[in-house]
Amino acid sequence: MVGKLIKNEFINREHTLLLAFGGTFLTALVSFLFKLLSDNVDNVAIELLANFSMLIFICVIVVAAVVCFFLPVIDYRNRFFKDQAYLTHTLPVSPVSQMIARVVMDIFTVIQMYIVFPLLFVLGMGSKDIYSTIFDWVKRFLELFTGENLGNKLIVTLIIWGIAVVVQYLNNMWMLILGYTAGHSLFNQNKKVMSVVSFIAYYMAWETLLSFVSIGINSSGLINLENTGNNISGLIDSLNIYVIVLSVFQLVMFVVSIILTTVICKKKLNIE
Amino acid sequence: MSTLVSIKGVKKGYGVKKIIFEDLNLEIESGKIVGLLGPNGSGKTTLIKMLAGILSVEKGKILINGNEIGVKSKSEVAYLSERIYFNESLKVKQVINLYKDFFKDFDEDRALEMFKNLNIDINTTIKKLSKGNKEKVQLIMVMSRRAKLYLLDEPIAGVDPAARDFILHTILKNYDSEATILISTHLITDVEEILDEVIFIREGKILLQENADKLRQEKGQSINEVFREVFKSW
Repeated sequence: MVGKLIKNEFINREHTLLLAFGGTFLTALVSFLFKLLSDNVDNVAIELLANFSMLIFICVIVVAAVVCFFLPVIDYRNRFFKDQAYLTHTLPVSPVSQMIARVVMDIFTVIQMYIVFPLLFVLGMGSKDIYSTIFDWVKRFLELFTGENLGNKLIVTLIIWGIAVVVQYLNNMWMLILGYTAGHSLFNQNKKVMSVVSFIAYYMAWETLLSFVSIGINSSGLINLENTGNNISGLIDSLNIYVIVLSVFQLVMFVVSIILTTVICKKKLNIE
Repeated sequence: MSTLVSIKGVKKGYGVKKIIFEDLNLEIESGKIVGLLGPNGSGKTTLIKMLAGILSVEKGKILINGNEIGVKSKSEVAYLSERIYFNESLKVKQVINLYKDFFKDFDEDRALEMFKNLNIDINTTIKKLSKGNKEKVQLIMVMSRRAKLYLLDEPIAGVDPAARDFILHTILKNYDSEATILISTHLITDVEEILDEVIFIREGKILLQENADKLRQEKGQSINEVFREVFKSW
């Protein structure tokens, strides 16, 4: 049944994602074509159009990214608490299976965003070397500053921080989802307000725990941010360890959010 | 006939001040078309939603065919809401595939035949259909299931007389005699001819549960007239 639920999630969500990606692609293509024209034709009007279309593209990609960012929460609200909930909650599947399917689709959504938006950014900016250019600039800056070749370390750092951003995104999404679920299931009045209150309460609890985790990391000697001095390589290593530990903690909180959401949906469903 | 629905000691409210059911007890047998009749705000929709599994109860127990509300009961219950609950960006055929995936009792051939009779193109998106056709799609999907319990919440409210006839005709034509249909409505005149049993409900209390023909004979009146009399005295 989980497979069928994932298929159902995919069909329901991909429509919006493809619209966002498609719209961004079109503006990226227009920007690219104008830039190409501008590079080959010496004309002020065309150069202005190229700059304007690039500006439009940047606005569109930001809006599309924000839409995709919040899509899991909006989709959850529509499917689990608005009119579509009358079908969702009457399907002969367990709430656990439904949440597993949603998590799988959320991860897939993030991966899609990670792949598609950077590619569209390259297209829109008209430069396939933009990422390598930025990377080389940072690498040269650090080499100049430290005298060390930090190329490989930078790549590892990028990977670690890239995964950390994904984990944080999923954690934040499910905190929002949990807040919304708690507000709309556990309370009979002022549901929107209680959703916000629930989210804030949960977020503050999480931040408090995070503070304790951070203090714990610092006290444990696992990292040593104070005595790195001019040792940039050591500083990067310490930061990477810090990010890894925090990401593990965020992953735990992500799982806790899923479990709490599932339990509330199972025991306290209240669709009006 | 066996007991299909058993509701015992159910309490349900929306907060402390708004108690819908204090101590609801009700049994419904299989193989009947039952009218759940009552004025607006009497608790009809809340009862239907509890049976469908989209409202949890605070106290008490609900059994459908011996099963508590859950995966098993939902596989045997077909629910028609008064709202359109499909994702409107989907095509009709995608909705058919969804029902095929999740409901083993879904009869695709029956659904396709009904869509053909109504000239509804299954390649059309739900969004492009008129309100009346959206409701018909929803009804067709529900009645194409061979469920044990059909829960129809106000199926004829807000539709024109021709559509009402279609809905009632569809219900009767696709009705499995071993199943139970629970229709909640306040438009009694239109449905009373098809009812085997009636349940009168007011402010969360069951006032009457009786065989429809027996009630007509005893009172010498139509169900609609009995209803007016019963609720007038309240």
